[in-house]
Amino acid sequence: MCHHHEESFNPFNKDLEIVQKQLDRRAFLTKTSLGLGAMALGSLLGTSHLFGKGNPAVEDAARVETFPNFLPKAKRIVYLFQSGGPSQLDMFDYKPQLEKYQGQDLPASIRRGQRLTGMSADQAIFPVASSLFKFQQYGDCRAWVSELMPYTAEVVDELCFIKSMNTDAINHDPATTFFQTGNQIAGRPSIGSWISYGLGSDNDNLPTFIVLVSKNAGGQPLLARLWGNGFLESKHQGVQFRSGKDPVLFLSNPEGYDGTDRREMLDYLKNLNQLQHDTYGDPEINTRIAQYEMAYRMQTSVPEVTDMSDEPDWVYDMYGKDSRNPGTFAANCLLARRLLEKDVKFVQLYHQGWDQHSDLPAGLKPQCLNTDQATAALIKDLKQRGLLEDTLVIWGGEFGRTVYSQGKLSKENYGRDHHPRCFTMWMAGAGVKPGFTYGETDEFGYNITKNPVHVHDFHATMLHLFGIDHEKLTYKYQGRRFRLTDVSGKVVKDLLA
Amino acid sequence: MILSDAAIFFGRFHPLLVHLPIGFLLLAVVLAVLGRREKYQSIQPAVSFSLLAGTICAIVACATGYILSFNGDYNEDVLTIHMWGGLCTATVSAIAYLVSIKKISLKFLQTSKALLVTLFIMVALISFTGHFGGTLTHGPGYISSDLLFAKLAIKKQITDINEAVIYDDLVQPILEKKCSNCHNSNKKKGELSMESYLTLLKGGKNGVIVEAGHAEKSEMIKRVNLDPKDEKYMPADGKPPLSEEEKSILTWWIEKGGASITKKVKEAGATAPIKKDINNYLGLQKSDPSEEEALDSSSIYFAQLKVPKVSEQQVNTLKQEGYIIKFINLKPLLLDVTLPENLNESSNSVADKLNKLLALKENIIWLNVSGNNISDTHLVQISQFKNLQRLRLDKNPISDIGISKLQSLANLESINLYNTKVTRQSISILSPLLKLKHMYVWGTGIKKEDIAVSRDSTKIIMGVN
Repeated sequence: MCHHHEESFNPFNKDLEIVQKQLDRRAFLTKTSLGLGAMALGSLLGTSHLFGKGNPAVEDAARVETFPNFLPKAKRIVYLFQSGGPSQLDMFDYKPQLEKYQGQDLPASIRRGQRLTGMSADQAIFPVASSLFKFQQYGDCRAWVSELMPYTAEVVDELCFIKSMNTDAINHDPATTFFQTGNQIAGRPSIGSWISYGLGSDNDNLPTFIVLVSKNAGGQPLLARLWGNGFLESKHQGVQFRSGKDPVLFLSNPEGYDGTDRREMLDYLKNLNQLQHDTYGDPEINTRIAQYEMAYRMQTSVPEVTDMSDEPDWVYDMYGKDSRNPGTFAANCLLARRLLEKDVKFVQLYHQGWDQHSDLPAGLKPQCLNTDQATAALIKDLKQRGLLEDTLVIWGGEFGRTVYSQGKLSKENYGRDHHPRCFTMWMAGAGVKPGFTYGETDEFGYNITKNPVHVHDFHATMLHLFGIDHEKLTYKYQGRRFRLTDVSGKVVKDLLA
Repeated sequence: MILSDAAIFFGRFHPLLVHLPIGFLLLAVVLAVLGRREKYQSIQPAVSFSLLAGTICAIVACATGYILSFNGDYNEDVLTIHMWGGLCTATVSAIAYLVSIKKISLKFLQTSKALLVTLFIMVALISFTGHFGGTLTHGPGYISSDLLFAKLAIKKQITDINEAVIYDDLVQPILEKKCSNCHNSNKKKGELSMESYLTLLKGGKNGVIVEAGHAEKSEMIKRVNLDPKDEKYMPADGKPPLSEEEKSILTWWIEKGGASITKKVKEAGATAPIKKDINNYLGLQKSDPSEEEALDSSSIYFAQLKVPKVSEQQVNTLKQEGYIIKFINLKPLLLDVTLPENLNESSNSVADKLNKLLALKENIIWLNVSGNNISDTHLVQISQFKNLQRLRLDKNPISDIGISKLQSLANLESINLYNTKVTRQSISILSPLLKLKHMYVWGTGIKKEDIAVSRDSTKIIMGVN
């Protein structure tokens, strides 16, 4: 037990005063020059501006807010990121014509000398590989889905397919970074951070932006910067929950400590931090104060939301047997639903292992098996609880895969290389058209023939659903204003319900 | 005459260097005139120095100008006048210098008068030469009194864009603003002049630049749409590029307007997007914000709602009491309010909480009281939130009796009744609410059979399928 501070906090503590007197050269120069500048500015502006109007009571509460720019449709989002580049040609983008060209070299008129990765660029032939999997139409919207995704096929009338997604990057890290931050080079804030920065939290007891990575899939590495805050305040960064039984560590009190005076300890710590903030004005100190408080509240809120013992058996059955195994994609989907129920604004799932360069049929099957049922279950579960009304669900990877086989094509085996020119994603829920397909690709599934949707357009549309004009959500850093959509992006109005 | 790259390099300094003699020589005039006063006598000696500096610079400017004259596509006639003007200016300034140091004296005049006369001639020559130099660089009429009135005149003319003549009112002003500085009858870069309709159609050294009906084949359109880093990109040399609207107007004129000189906007069959571009270009009207932001009719309805102002203090007080309040529209201020779930809430306490919210009842359009032990009596309070668009009542012990209180919520689009005690009666109770699109009824007394026979079956949702 630590010592109780009965007396109130005293900022005029002797030791503190000594520290404060130790002004170094840099601090002296900073303070004096800024001070002089401020004085000069003050005299320019006149006293009324310098000291304000003397009446701190603000009449209009909306005066200080900037966002949303218009009435939103979505209140929260769950983004099921399929890392590695799922093969659109074997799952959603049905190309029956391909059988005709099976094994033939991809025509130059289709390939058009476009960039390939170093992994297949030197191939003597680019043999067209039609999908080994059977496709069928489902739902009232008659969407084509392959036999790999039987559960997703059940919910197609809720989904809004975009078959004409395209990206600038051809390799995993830049492509994933591009999708998650709007830029191929690391360092910009992630989508979740931008939304947290623009709209804030709907639940003070849980982080605004939570990340769940499946434990049951290996593959291309994922780095924490994909959910990083970039140059935004660090309180906007994604909080990763561990994929295991204990999603957040050290929430329980250590042995021998009953936690009764933690509140008091935090208050004292807060005062110290506040003092530092008053001296230096670094906003990161405020973030630190807020994070201590958040951690304190998470001691009760996290066990409550992650303890799934109150879920009935039929829920587990709906999400599949993996959902009883914490940290799997299925269990993460279920946890995501629980977080969304608590109004966590942004839940980001990552599932790796979609990078089938070779042995695609054998590789793709388990990927689909591990994700299909839980994905569909999440849609169904959100729908029946009425949460699909204002929750946006997104499914997709960083790019698609080529129509030609990487490596040897045989009757029952092929591989596919990275393909950024076109691939399929879907959205569902808040504000998007259900049972709708947008965009078309050519008969080889190689180029877009109608309604392309670029990553920037996708981001712009996403922000639009949250009531944000993507051109207005900016942050000034190093002398220029940055946006999630950089200098591009158009809202795809046809996707909006 | 073929010049080396180095010579061209120096030649291009002419437009820069030419301002030095102008400055020095005019300074000399100012010094000479002021120096005649007793008070400023002390500056007299500086006159000859200024003249010398000006003369040297004038000679350098002449030399660089001569080199440059081989390199630009300049109008020959104007060029000749400018060249001789420049040479005369240099000569006269040299004479003025010699007069000022008394090497030459005109017998019939006093020296001081002689200097003033020479200086006067020199100023006249500078103005004359400068004018033609400006004409070479910027085209004729670059500085003209029209400028003062032109903008007003154009805007007055066009009140109805349908009646605007595409070439005269739209295309020509764009070309004049962005192109004809370099492509005019005096300065024909690439042997192209855009000054008139005829010369525009004639094209330049690479042939025709406008192919009526085929914008994609027209060199003019191709060039402005290139990557700005491309060598062939126009406008060249970092001059202001065409705006998206300007590009779209030119493209449309060639494509649908047949690159005609007489066609009016209405005759070319203007679609809504091009009309918007034209309006934006002319600054006639702000484009409709709802179209810009792709808002649906419901969002527009709420954006135009008249609601009372809310003070910051009001919101903050409620937040401190545990309400979650989010702003979902700023003007007018519309709110999304959530009561954090509390399944053990007492009936009185929840009534109290709802009462406090009534102060904001017109501003709240999304209300979430899920899992708060809400019973039928509380729905009387909720029915007063007349602007509600979305209402979450799930996980509460409410029944059809309570639902009947909600008939006043005419703006309701979505109601969540999951895990409540309502039955199929609620379906018919709520059917007069015309805007209601979604009614979530999973885990209630409503059965699948009830939905099948209901008139409102499309909006009743139990789950997928």
